[in-house]
Amino acid sequence: MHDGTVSDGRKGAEVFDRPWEAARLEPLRTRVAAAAGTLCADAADRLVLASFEAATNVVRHVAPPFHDSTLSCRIMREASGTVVEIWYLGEAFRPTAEPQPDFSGGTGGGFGRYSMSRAVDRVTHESPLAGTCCTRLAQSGIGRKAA
Amino acid sequence: MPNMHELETPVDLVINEAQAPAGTAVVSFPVGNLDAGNVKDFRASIEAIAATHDALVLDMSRLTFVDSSGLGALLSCLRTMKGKKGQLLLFGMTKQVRALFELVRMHRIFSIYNSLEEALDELAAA
Repeated sequence: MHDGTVSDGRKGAEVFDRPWEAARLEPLRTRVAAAAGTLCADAADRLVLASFEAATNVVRHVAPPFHDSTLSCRIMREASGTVVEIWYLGEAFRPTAEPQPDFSGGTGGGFGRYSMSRAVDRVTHESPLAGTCCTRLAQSGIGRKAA
Repeated sequence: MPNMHELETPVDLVINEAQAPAGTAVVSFPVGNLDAGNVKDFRASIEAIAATHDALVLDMSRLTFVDSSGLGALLSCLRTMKGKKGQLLLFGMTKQVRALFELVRMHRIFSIYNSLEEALDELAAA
């Protein structure tokens, strides 16, 4: 597992790994917050939230393929904003239905995808190779999405 | 590379009953986050407190990050309190947490106050 900034061939991209454990994902927030510094504060906070939700969704819903599996986070600062990708090996977490949060408190479920979809401009799930998956979050610096 | 943030953060909630009417607990978070990393501890702690009180007043002023797991736990606690005709009130939200509540429209579901005094006034009036 590497935890430093490495080049992946794209200008301005930052790549680091985190363990496949919910309790050890907090540094991801710090790294995304630092990289999102060029966005307005509200957009940056929402990108941090969505990135954390994307990572915890994988940890909670996808079985790690190896005992020491990690999530790889790639952050790219682009002219239009900031993009965060969460890469992992395993079964793709590819939800088909619209997120339906349970506001009754009965299950407490559904809020992860719901908050992701409301927090950033675009959420996509990709699987460029079998068993290789990516959740991609794109955020511009423009203010809050319309309710 | 060593990282101090990698330690797990069990939620040892701080309970203050002296400031509140009988049967009410004012509960503070000792850490700045309520998320997938510590939500199990929070659920266990808050449910134990909820079982022995009629009203919970949560001091949110130290929390700077809440994720969907944390929201789910707070909703579950609200459901528990309503189920026994009790109350759950939140106060002192930071800007970041307030923004999250508004983002997912939770601010319409919870009773949220600016200060402890406002929350206790509401309890007294109920």
